[in-house]
Amino acid sequence: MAQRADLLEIPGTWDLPWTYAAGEVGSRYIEELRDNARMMATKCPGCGRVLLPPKSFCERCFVSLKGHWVELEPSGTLEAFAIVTIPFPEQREPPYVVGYFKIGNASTNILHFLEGVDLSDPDKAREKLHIGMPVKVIFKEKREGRMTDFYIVPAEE
Amino acid sequence: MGSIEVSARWEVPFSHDIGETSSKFLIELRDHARIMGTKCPECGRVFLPPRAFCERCFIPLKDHWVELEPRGTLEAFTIVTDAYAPAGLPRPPYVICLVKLGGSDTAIPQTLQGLDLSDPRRVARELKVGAPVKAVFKENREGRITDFHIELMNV
Repeated sequence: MAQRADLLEIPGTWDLPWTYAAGEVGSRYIEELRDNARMMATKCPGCGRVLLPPKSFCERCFVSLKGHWVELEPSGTLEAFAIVTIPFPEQREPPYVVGYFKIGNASTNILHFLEGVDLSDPDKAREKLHIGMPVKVIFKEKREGRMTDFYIVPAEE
Repeated sequence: MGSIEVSARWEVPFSHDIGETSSKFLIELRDHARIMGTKCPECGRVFLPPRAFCERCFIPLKDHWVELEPRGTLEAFTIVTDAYAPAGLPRPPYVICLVKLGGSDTAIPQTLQGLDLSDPRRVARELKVGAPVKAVFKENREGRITDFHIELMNV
């Protein structure tokens, strides 16, 4: 669009600091990652669904899941993915892969980064990834109580 | 229990495309140090800040500009004593006001300056809605609403 001297654009910035409180269930989940390097979920005694990330109650059965923790196998399948090639504010340098993963016998998906994929040619990388491919969970050496205490890699290779 | 907290900040840059009517308003402030409103030819109402159309008569006001006297009345005010995050806001304390200028039918928000704010409660008691005010233009104007501010007439 041609610049018009009779039209003004006003630049601005919102700087929004925030703090997220993970709550009881979210805190235990992250503390288990950090202290024991294990993937814990909650399981509904009513419908049997295994919820990851863990929920404090089953929204289908309205049952409190406090005290209904289960440990999950650190492996699973890729359920959906996107190769991100443009930068977003406050996010890591592209390219990277974001995916939904079903871990252990969870009934729900977890959102995370898929690492260990050669992204030098994103189009080629896309051909290598497919929904349903097996993945595994890798825990970092140094864990600090964040979702990034672990990451996901393809199980093959 | 519940001990995990994650802190971060979002920095959200944006660009506000203010459109033809507001652009003309700000450009008139910048280039001619004058306050322009729009006037509905049907109902006669004068809008400041200028509107692109009269929302009562549904008439475009594109070619219905009027220059307004840089004087008017204080319609409402707030003495701000807390700091807010957005960049560009003055350091507290400061006064935000709504004023009607040059016989406009609508009020425009602006900063009210030139007051001694060392005792905000005293200012709150003494400042009166209806007080006569004037618009004061900056020397260096850049096409922003901050190219002018409001002051009380008799100080």
